[in-house]
Amino acid sequence: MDLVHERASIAAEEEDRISKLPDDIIHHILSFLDMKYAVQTSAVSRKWKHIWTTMPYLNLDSQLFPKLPHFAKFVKQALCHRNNHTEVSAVDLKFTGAATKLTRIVNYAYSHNIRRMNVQWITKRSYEFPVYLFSSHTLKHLTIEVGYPYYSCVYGTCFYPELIWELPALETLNLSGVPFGFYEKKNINLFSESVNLKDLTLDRCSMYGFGIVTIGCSQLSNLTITNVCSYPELSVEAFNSLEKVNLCDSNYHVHKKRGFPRLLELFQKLSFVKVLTLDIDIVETLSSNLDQLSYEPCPFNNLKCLKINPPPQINTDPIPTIPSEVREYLLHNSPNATCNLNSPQLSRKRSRKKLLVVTMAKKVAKLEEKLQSRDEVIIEQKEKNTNVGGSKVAA
Amino acid sequence: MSTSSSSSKKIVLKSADNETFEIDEIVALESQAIKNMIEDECADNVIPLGNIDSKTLSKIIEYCKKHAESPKKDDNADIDEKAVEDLKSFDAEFAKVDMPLIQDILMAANFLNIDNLIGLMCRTIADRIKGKTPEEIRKILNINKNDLLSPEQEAKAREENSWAFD
Repeated sequence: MDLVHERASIAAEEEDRISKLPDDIIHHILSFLDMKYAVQTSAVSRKWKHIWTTMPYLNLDSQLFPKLPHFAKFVKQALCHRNNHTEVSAVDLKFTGAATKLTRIVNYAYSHNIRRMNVQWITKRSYEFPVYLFSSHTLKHLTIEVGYPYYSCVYGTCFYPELIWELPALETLNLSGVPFGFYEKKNINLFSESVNLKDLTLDRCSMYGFGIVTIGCSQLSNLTITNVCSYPELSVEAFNSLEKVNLCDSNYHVHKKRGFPRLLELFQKLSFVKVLTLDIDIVETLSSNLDQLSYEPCPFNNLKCLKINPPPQINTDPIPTIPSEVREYLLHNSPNATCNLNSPQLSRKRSRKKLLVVTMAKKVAKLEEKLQSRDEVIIEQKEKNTNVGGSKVAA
Repeated sequence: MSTSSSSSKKIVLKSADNETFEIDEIVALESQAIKNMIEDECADNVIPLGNIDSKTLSKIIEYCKKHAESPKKDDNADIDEKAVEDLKSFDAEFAKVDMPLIQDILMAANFLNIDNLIGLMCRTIADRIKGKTPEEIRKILNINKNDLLSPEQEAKAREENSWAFD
C-alpha cells in the first residue's frame, strides 16, 4: 500500500501538470507578463513554442526596450508572427514618445475585434491626439492616461472637439490627463455615438473655454469628474439611470463664489443619483454662499448615500465639519440616506500621489484663471476698439 | 456566537482519495460548475470529485469559504475597502504554497470553474516565471522532459524569435 502510494506520488511529481492545462489557461498566465517575456516562453518546450502566437492579450511596454526603435521593431515582428486569425481581446500599452508609434498597434488591435484598450502615455512634447483611437465597433472599455513629465506641457496633447467618437459598443471610458482643448465658447456633444456608455471617468480633463458640454448617454450609471478646475456648463440628457456620481478635488478657484452657481446648476441635472461622493472642496464651495444656499431647493430626489472625502493633506487637519445649511441642501429629500465623512486614515495611503495631483490641479487652476482674465481683457479691448471705430465713423 | 450556518443547506464533496467534506451550499456555489449542477438538480447529496485529491480539495474549500463569507460589493465604501484589503491579504497568504500544489489547485479550479481562484493561481505562476530564462521556467514548472525541444530546435526557436531576446 505504502509502496503504491509512494510510486504514485513520484509519478505525480514527474508529471508535467501545466502542459495538460487548456491553452486558454496558459494564455491567462501569460496575460500577466509583458509580451516580450511571453514570446520568450517559446523556447520553453514544444507545447509552449507557439502558444504565445494565439494569445488574445497584448501587453506592450516601450520602457522594457533600450530605445524606441527597438520597441517598434519588436511590435512589428510580434504582430507579424502572431496568429492572424486570433482575436485581440485586450491591449495594455505603456509607452513614451510620439503618437505615430501607436498607429501600428492600434490598427492591428482594432482590426482584430478589440474589446479592452488601456493606454498609458508619457510624453514630453505635445501631440495631437490620434483620431483613430476613437473609431471601433467592438471596443467596450477604453482607458487613456496621459502623463507629463513637465507640467508646462499640460495643455499640449488634446482632443479636437470636432472629433467624432465612433465607439458604439463602448461601456466604460476613463480619460485621465486628456484636456479637451480650448475653443472659444464652442458647444460640444461628447460620446453621442456611445449609447451603451455606463461608466464615465474624466480626470484632469480640462474643459475650459467650452460653451455647453453635452454628455448624452442614456445608459450612464457612474459618472466621475475629478481634478477639473471649473465645471463646464453640463447639459445632461436623460440621466435617469445615473446611480453614482463622484466629484472630487475639483474647485481650486480662489473665488469660491465663482464656482458656486455652476455647481448648483450641475446638481440640478443629477437629481436621480443614489450615491454621491464629494470632495471637501465642493462642500467649501457650497459653504461660500450659505445665505443663498438656504433658499435653494434640494436637488436630489433619492439619495441613498452621501460621502464626503476629507482634504488630502498629510498632516491630519481637524476633521472639517459640514455646515447644517449644506447638509440640509444636499439631504433634505433623502432622510434615510447615510452620510459619512470618509476617515482620513483610509485616504492617507494614497496621499502622496493625491497630493501631487492636487498641486498640479492647483497650478492648472491658476493658469485657467490667468487665461480667463486675459480673455476678459481681450474682450474689453475689442469692445473698446469697436467703440472707438464706431465713434470715428459717426464723426 | 452561533452562526446561521447550522440551519443552511449542506453539500458533501468527495475527493479522489475518498475523503468527504461537508460544506455550506453557499460555499459550494463559489464553483460555477457545482452551481450549475445544483441548479439543474443533478447534484446528489454527495458530489464525487474523482480527479481532485483531498489536500487540493481542502485548500479549495478554504478559499471558497473565505470568499463566500466576504461581503460582496456594496454601496458602502467603508466596509468595501476593508473587506477588499482583507481578501487581498488572504489571497496573498493562500498563494504561498509550492508549485506542484499551485498547479493542482489551478487544474481543480479550472475543472470546478472558480473564476477568481483561476485568476489568482495564474497570477501566482506568472509572478514566479516573470523575467526568468527558458531553462529556469522549465525547472520551476517541472516541464515534462519528453516535451523539451532538442538543442537544435531550441536554438532555432531562439533564432526565429531573436527580436524578442534582445
